Amino acid sequence: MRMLHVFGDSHVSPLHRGKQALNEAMARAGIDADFYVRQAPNWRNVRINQIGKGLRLRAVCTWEQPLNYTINQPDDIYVFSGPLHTAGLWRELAWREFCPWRVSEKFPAHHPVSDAVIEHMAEQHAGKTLEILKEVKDRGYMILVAEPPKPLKKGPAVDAIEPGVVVAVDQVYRRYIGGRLNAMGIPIIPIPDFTHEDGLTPDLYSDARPDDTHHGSTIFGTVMMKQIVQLTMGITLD
Amino acid sequence: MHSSNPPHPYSDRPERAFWSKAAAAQHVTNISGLFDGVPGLEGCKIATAGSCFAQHIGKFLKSRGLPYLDYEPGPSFLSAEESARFGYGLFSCRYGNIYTARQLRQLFDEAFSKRKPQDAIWTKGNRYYDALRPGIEPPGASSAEEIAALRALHLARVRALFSDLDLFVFTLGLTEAWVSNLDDTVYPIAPGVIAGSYDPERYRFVNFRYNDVYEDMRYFVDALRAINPNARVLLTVSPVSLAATATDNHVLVATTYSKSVLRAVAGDLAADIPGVFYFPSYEIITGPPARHMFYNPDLRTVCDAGVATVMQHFFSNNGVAEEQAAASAAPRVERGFEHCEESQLDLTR
Repeated sequence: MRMLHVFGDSHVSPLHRGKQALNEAMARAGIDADFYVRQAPNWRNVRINQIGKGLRLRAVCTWEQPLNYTINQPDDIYVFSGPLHTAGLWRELAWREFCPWRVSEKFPAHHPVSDAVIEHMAEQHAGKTLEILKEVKDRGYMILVAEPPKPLKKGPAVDAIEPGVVVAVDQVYRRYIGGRLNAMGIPIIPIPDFTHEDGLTPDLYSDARPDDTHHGSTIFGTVMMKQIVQLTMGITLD
Repeated sequence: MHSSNPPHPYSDRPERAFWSKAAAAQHVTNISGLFDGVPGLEGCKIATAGSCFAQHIGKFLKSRGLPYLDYEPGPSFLSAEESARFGYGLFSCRYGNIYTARQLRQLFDEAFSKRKPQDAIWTKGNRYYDALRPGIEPPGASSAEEIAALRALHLARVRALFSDLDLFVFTLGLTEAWVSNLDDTVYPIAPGVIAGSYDPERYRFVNFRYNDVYEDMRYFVDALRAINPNARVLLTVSPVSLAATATDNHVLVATTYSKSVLRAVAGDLAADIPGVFYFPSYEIITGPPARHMFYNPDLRTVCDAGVATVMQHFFSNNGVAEEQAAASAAPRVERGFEHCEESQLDLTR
């Protein structure tokens, strides 16, 4: 049995549900997976310790639930969800008045913001997490990052932010963190192109709760679990 | 026989005209009559620009609840420190430090399409910088296109600011500058310090003299009033010494020259042009009554108490209601900390 360990922020939950939908197919393929989810803020400042031959990750500051995760299976695959989670920035209400410079012509009443400002914020959100991921990788573990869905189509309206602004913020953020992960040699498991249109996630792949702006549906989780298995093990699940 | 002294030209001068009573006998915080104020300051839409010392003035104006204009505010998700690092909230627009009168003149002309600098984008590694405000985006940009787009949007805000303001507070900082040989564009910082590369074929040093500075400021005031006839101007001179000089002089001598020229120009403009005022922040900080106590240990930057004293003098003669003044506490001013490209000259040796 080959083992996947999927851990990280709240975007792990749809992956977990997706796995449940794929239980039989994964069992036939000789794959199992476990899941560990903690809210995003917990992962932004994690301390890492060597415990025996493994690594223990603990949140410096706990939000809602304590974070205590162990990585100790060098032959398994670890898939992390977190650094490409952009909602923490694009949901900022400042985007009602500001926009990335690239779309400033479409939003002349908005103040333009440089890519560097967005990249700075992305670094503030994800920088420490990236350091931890690099340490895990440098200790010889196979670790990859799963991309979360693009902002949900209904998302911008929930926060009364222009969709074009949200999409542009999301793009800059993902490109920057993607570049950082690439430079560290940590692969990204990308979302399939068909799960988004014009930079937003259509309802089919979106969490059905009306106030949820950024999580994927079980269908999205199923698609992503297939993608994870395909890209990490070369196995296509039916 | 007892006879009174015969009258002489100083007989009826007010007390503030006499050093012994008005300066030597007074603690600097008690000196009065330094500034006659700006009539009708309350209600004025105020904008600031200039060298790093001017940043303090804007912060205090905001804290006093005066209608301070900020036409390029920072997004609220940035902390105050992050905002300042990206050039937000330092002045009324995000133009960074405007150290010289020539910079101010060319900014105005560029904003109103009277000039277009030819060498306006510098690089450092694979990053691009706005050469005319290289400090506002510390990481730089990934493309020249971004710099050009952000500058065009910035200039639109500058145009609006100059058109809307009632009082423009400008702090004259330096006479020394680096100039493009292509079109005489003046930069806030020498090429190579933050970005760009120094090439004597492309850039030259200039130390503006009295006539240059006076003419540039006069040009600016006239141009400003051509688009905003009721605009008034309040001039100050930065008491912050030069971080470094490109002249052959000792930096202390160079500082004295630079500040002397700027102080003389500011005073003459105030004397020559109605609606132009001079506020003596320079004298408050550098004058003997202060006994140099308002400088930080670097003997260059001004400490919190100095800034507070300057602003106390500013408000005490401007009719700003006490209750309005007391309504908000003085803003937190990082000790000796302004965003100052020029200070980097000390760090690049």
